[in-house]
Amino acid sequence: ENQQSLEKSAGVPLSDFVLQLEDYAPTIPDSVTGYYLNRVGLDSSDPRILRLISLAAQKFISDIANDALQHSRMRASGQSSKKPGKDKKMTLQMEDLSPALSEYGINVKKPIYFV
Amino acid sequence: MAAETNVVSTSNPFRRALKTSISALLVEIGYQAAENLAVETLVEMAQAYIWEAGRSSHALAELAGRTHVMPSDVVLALVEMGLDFTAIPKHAKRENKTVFLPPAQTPPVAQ
Repeated sequence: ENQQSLEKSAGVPLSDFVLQLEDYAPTIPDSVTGYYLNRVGLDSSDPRILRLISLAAQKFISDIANDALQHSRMRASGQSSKKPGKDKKMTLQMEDLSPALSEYGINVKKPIYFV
Repeated sequence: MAAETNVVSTSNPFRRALKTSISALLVEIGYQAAENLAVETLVEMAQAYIWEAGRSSHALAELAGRTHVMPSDVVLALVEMGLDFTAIPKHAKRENKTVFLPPAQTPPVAQ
């Protein structure tokens, strides 16, 4: 039963979805993904391949950034009573990105040469 | 070379376009500003992700005795990288999607 529901959710719509990619413009442009894929020796004449990889990379980055946003919201709610007017702008900071990345098993350190 | 160190981070137009698209994604999520170090970290990760997806799709196509990569190779490679594919159509159809004009330069031929 579980197998069947898995097929329903992933198998059938995926082939339709890949066909829909023919006229879809991802946020990461085709030329950018194409450039990186060319560098690993992949022929990128099929736009569906480019768009599939663009979308996957976008999703990966979006999920991490979303986690970082949740972290900063939690941090802000913890200290909201002190400075209410200061944090008007939502800023992506390493302080929030580092814990979000460590959930993915990635430990980032600031390189000493980075300004 | 560059007079202002915070303006020019790289001369590669594709990397700069990637930085723009990642910034667009951050704006979509709800950020209004970002530290350069944080964005550069995400750009580097996106670059590595595309790189690895391409490398392993290529390897999977070769394993199947083909030189041309098919969408199914890419899907398998991405799933092996830990992507939940059922969430992709939803991500693709999100309402506040931003698209911008990519660099017009054609990518160099792979050596």
